[in-house]
Amino acid sequence: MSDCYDRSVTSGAYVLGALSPAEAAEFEAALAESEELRAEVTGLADTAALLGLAATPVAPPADLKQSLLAALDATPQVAPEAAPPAPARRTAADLAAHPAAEAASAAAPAGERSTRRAHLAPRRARRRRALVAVAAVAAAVVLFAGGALSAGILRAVSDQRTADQFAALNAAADVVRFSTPLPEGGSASVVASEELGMSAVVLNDAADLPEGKTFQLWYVGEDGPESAGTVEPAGSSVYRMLEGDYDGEPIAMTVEPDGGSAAPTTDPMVLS
Amino acid sequence: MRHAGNVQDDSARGSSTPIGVAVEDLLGRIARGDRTAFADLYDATASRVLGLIRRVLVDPAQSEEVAQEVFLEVWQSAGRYEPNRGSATTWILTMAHRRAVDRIRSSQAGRDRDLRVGVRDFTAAIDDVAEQAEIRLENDRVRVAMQRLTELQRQAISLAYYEGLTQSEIAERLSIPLGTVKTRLRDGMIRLRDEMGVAS
Repeated sequence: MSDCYDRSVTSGAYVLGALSPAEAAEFEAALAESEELRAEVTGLADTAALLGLAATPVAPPADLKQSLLAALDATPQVAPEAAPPAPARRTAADLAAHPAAEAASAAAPAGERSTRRAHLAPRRARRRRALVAVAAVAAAVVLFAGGALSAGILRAVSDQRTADQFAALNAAADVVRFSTPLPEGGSASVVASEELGMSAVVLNDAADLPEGKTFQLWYVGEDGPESAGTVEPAGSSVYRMLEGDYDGEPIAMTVEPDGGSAAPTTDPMVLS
Repeated sequence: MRHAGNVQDDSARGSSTPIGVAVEDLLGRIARGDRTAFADLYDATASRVLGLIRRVLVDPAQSEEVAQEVFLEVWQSAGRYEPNRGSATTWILTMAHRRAVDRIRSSQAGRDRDLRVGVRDFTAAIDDVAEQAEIRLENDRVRVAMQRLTELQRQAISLAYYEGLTQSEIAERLSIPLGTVKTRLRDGMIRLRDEMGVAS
């Protein structure tokens, strides 16, 4: 009984955003069970929104809207419920030419890739299910694709074609993203799509490497590591489209001398 | 990267478009990939969204980043909006508030923010708002309703909503039991709801 009381009395803190993640999860479990509690929370949430409206409006800078509109291409929309299967495999050009909304039904059919890779299907299905869960992460990644240009974040990237590819990659129906913390701070994220056969790496807040060193990416296939290109930290965020065809194999990263090496010479970090 | 240099932009002068019923319709169109609807929704809500985020986060650059995240989330998940779970305005502002608070709790932003002047008085914030004639009506409703709260309820709500403190942090800051914080927040919000006539 005291538990019941405790849960309903938490509704105020909940709508005000004053719960820790664990407390919020517990409260939401209680919400799912009680119609009465849901009704109270709906009313109190509208009330909290009025507190939000009472804050002094701030006119956004003009380039914020431009960045946002530019980022839509690379921002997949999630379907309200289970999405209908995507009709066919799309090419990068298709994706670049069509709005994300059309291309981005979250669930794609299980891939009909070669049977050699059939054992990976469950893993890919898991990845696809995870897509919805990473929508918020996607939004963050997408900022690098379309937004924030004015902030100079992408100073290392100037090639429009590369940018289009990166946008298409982010909008791919089967896009997967993995983020790995770097030992010296920051993170390295892989964005990849088997349908498009493309992948990219994004470095966020990565510390500069020692003079004469670079990061090198590797596809780790059955025949050993194959170079996928190099990338160096630049500013708060930088991305590189990886060279070669991505086929779902793990991607690793090592520190190599400038220009890269023929084979890894330092301990690899596995990024995907 | 798609430069959108030719995109007509009028957001710089802010927006006086009231947030109203139309936002629900816009969300429906956005869910189907309608960019014009997205641009309209942005024009109608951006200054309010950024205003709330700035109120919580203070730092202008970080606030703009968070606002951008919010609008991308709106674009991504418009299809998830359920009208029977609350108004579209509530949906968007809840998202904005959650992301602003998350930013405070997860980063240097919170520590930076703590360096500035401590607890702001809610009344002072309301007075800022009053300068803007276009929103005076809503502001008056909030002001009148807030006056019906006890000082302690007002303080607790302000610490939670505008300062982004958790209920535990409020308990610690005020040296009162957690249960007392919960009660103040809930009683205060119910009082506000009833005073402002929010239909649920």
